[in-house]
Amino acid sequence: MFQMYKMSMAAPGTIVLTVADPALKSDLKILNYNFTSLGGHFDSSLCTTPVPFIIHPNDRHVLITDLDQIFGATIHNKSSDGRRNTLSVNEEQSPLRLCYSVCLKSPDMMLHVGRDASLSLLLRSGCLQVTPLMVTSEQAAQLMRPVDEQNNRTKWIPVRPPTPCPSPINAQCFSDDDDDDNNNHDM
Amino acid sequence: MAAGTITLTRAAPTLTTTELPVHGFLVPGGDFDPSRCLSYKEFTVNPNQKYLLFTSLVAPTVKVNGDDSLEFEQGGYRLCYKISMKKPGTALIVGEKTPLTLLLSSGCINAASFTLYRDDFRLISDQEQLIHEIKIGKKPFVSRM
Repeated sequence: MFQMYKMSMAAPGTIVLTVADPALKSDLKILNYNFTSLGGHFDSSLCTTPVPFIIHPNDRHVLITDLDQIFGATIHNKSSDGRRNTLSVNEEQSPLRLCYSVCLKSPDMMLHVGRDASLSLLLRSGCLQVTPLMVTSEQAAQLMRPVDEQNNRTKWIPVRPPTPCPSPINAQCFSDDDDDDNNNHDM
Repeated sequence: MAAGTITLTRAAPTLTTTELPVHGFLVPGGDFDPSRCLSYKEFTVNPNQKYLLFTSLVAPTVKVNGDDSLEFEQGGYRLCYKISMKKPGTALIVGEKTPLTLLLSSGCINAASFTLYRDDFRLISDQEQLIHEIKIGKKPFVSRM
């Protein structure tokens, strides 16, 4: 629990919009997170992130869904009136995967995304610029870096709360954190 | 047929057509969220017939330039689904404003996702114009939402 508050203030299944901490500088890298569906079919309301993360101002995140069997298709128009059409799906080519590129609309805010927050909740939050995109399986593999590697690249150092008025529970957590910092400056 | 519902019925004797019936699932305004993708009007999925369902999601492909940037390419691909009934003796009545996710997770249809290039999509119908009209609010679909 303590570790989770260090990574994100948001409780599981929720997102929290806070004022951006000016001490945190964005490294302007792309961060990527997988969203996995609970059922067999892709459903954005059941598609959740297994790890919490934070969207900083000026960061661009790629949210990778598990809708990954999207094949290219072509329409063959067989008559002049356009009423007889056939559809051919090319399953020999590499399938595409649906992703979303997101960034915060406001440069003064940061968004804490809790574990198990749904993709639908993020897309409907209204505080993100959302661009859907299609990537090949090779590009998806390129984007899917280990979360630890991505976290190492962020400048998130929880030396103080990201909001001026944390809740009492969070204040306690960060108070403990400060104590730890006093004891261990390598954190 | 109640809006937002699907009804599984015994199939009436029908003639299979050579046409590819096309039905739209649209998100009323805003960013594309598949869970808010609703059928534009009521339709019936008959056995032994394939249907093309198009969504209002048009997404570009990208080039991934290392870790630093995404380069969006020209054009766009529309997310579509090809569906058919699993059981030959049954039909499915899909009401107006039925979520696409409800239809896909119903368990009684075969569904495959695919993309159509934007220009290819124009071959099958004038639905692009329809979507445009929906977006600017000419159709009652948006005003009732």
